[in-house]
Amino acid sequence: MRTDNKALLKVESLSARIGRQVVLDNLSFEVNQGECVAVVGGSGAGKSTLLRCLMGLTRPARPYRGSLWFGGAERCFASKKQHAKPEGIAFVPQNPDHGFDPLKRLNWQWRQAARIVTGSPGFSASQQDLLDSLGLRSLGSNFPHQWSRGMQQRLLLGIALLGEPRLLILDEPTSALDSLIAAQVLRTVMTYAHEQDVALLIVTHDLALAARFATRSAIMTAGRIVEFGETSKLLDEPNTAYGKLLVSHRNWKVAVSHGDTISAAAE
Amino acid sequence: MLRVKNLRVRIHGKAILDAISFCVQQGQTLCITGESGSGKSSLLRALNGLLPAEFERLAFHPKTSEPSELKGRWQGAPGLPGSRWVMQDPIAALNPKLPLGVSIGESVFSKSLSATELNDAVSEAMSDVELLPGLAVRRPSEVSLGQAQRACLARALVARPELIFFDEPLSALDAIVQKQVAATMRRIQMRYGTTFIIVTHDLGFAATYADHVLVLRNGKVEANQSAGNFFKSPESRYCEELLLAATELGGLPEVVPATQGPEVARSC
Repeated sequence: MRTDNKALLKVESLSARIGRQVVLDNLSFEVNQGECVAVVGGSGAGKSTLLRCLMGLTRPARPYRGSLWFGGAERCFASKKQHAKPEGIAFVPQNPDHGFDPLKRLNWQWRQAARIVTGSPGFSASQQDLLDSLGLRSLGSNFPHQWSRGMQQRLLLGIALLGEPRLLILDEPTSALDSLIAAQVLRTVMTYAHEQDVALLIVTHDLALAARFATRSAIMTAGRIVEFGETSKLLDEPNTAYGKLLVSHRNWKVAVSHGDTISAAAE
Repeated sequence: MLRVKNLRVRIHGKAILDAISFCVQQGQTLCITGESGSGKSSLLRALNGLLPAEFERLAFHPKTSEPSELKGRWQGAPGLPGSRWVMQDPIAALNPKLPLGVSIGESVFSKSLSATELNDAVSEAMSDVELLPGLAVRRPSEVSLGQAQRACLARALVARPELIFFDEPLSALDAIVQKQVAATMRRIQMRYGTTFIIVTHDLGFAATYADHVLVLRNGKVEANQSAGNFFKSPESRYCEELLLAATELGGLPEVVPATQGPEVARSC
């Protein structure tokens, strides 16, 4: 499937290992301009490792093969020099506890992020606009814990959006938040992504969430992408055993009627 | 079997739970839900005597052990007699130095059993939760999260409690394992007629497993309805928003009202 003129991010045969253990094995996928792609897999499938590789982090898993195209520029995962993440990719961690320094005031954290992106710590009108669009009026001199988690998560999103990314990566956007806040945050993201034509990469263990938002999904297990394709097609007829398992466990009701004892005991 | 009337918890003079009343029938599942910070976990802690609580009345009538009636102030860990608790994070809940089998067996502190009887009880509990017997000698760090949570469930089950409290029992697990563990919970409930009180923010889970739903908001009861009614016609505007948010996230497949919630809830 080569849609070169549209593909924004393209990863080809990425492999990574920790010590001698191969944790990512020959991953290939792509994200088109303005598209929402989900990476679905259980715990230990290598989802977070994949994200770390995309962000240019080489520890603990070190990529040893594969390359990445982003917005026309190519990066080789194995080369030691080009570790910095490509410009235009932003990352929202799954949980504000991971995203903020609890001992620094929010406006300080915002200024630091702005300084990295724009080179000056000043507070510009466009930044105010961004905050307004997220429903956050002023940062004040608050510490993270003085804000609700939903507001913290939205501010994290704001920090990610500061650099006007073309690809936004969300790591488990719902698992740490309750459903009201998660829905609110996702709604904000979707609106923004739609307006600005930003591509989204959602990493989740919840296929129901992927089914709801993603046009294409990749199913990962044990360090491999076993299926990659349109979400609707994937839901209708999964090709692999793991894909079938995931799809059959999408709804709570199915799990009850099946009650698969064997797979539970061997899990 | 458990009836709570006007429970109130105050910390430093501030009421964090106020005027909470509900009751649970034998063998049924009560799901307590609400946004973070609404007092769900505090309610569990209060019911287990870990927070100083005031009751107008608390009546607990298990079939096998003595009924207890409480009034006024109460702070009495280890909680209601004959009840057990399954925590959110299995790794934090299990002693990292103890093999799972020993952790499970420790829960039988109230009875005097011989070593063989204890072993039998442990292996029976482990087979109830579909853990392979070989795992009894492993430590929590040597098993998967799902298996660790099953061990916690076995630990709660080994003393044959009539009431088990769950604090977000599934949120640490990934989607497939969640559903498998939930199915195990259901089988246990059907086999032993255990009463479950489950704190969860997953409304999809509640729609499938709950008989009764209690929604908390800012320490007050927002809705107290049977699951069928709750998913069909929620009591308040806020509950509608909750349901809407869950649907938006794909957590509640299709439009739940009328089609799914009721008949599933009643089939238990």
